[in-house]
Amino acid sequence: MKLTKKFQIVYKEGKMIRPLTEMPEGSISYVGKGVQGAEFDSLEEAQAFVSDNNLIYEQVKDENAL
Amino acid sequence: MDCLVTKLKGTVTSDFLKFGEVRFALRNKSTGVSKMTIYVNATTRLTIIGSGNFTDSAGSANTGNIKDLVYGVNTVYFSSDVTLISCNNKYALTGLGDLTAPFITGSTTLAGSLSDYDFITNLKELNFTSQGISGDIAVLKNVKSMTALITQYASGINGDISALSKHTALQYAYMQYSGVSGDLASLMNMTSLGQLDVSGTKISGDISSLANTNIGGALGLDMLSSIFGDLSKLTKTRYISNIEGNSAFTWTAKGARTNILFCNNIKITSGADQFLIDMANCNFSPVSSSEIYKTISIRANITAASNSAITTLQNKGVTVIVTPLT
Repeated sequence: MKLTKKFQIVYKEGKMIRPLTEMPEGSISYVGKGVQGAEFDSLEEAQAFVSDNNLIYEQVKDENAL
Repeated sequence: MDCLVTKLKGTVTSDFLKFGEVRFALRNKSTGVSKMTIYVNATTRLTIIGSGNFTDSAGSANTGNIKDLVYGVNTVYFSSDVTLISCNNKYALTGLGDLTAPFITGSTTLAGSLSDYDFITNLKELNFTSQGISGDIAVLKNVKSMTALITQYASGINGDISALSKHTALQYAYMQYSGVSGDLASLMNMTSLGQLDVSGTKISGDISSLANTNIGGALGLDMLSSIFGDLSKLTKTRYISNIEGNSAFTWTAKGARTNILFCNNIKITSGADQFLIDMANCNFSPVSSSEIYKTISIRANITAASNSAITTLQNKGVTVIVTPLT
């Protein structure tokens, strides 16, 4: 799967791998096997998708917690 | 030989430090019990100076103002009004906190100056996570046997990491969001260094300075914009992050690398196609099960030369995010 629109959502098991923000122009997400993706032209549509699917983004703060 | 002995009348009234003594200055930050994690290799006594007392984990018992430490790890509880604890044998101290436990937690934070910790020469692990202490990290210059140095989120700790350049036993260095500065080249001889996070510091320099280190897990460089160099010189690191940073790297060849280098917002100004091709030929071995650690997010200009490599990576379960450089 390849995402090219302004708002690209990559997620797995309810968690997004990056926060929902507008992607810089020309950005492409090549979604890995077993991971899900969705793309939208508007923020409103993307937010609705996030809400409908109960998606969350958890910021990674401490790599040393690994 | 005769000598002249002069005896002055008077007494010393100041409470001077005794030989081998170190004092831990503390500051209350909330209600409840405080906890100290401390390691020693010989008989050592802690004495509360001034207000407060040692207690139990619930904070309900008053066990006095003296605590004798036993060999190895000691978990010491004290009341939140304690502001000063004397330790009579700083040479016996081997751990002020450890890899997982900060030195002081709970209702109290470490205060005072880092300069009070001079000549604790047998220290192996120091964990001052989020502590309120301040001062120059140069005070640790002589503590060369240290294996873990954790000053993360202790914004008052500053100084140049060149003071650590001879700490070749160091295995864990988590200094993120503290005030330290300096050049990565100061770490170049740390062949045991396995984990490094300097996010949000003032550290700069060539990433290839870390080529001889043993960083096999995550390398945190978030918010840094002055790191540069050939990423391919790091052959063991499996995750590198430069969130909210603008450091610029290059890539030349896979070399001895066997595992995929997962990336979070890594800018590659040249060699990006080759990077993806090389990653497609590496093993899938993320440092964590979290999906973010299975992602290659780069800012780079790529061509059709890496199309096949991207497909291979996707089939391995890797998400590749490419943002073109402008």
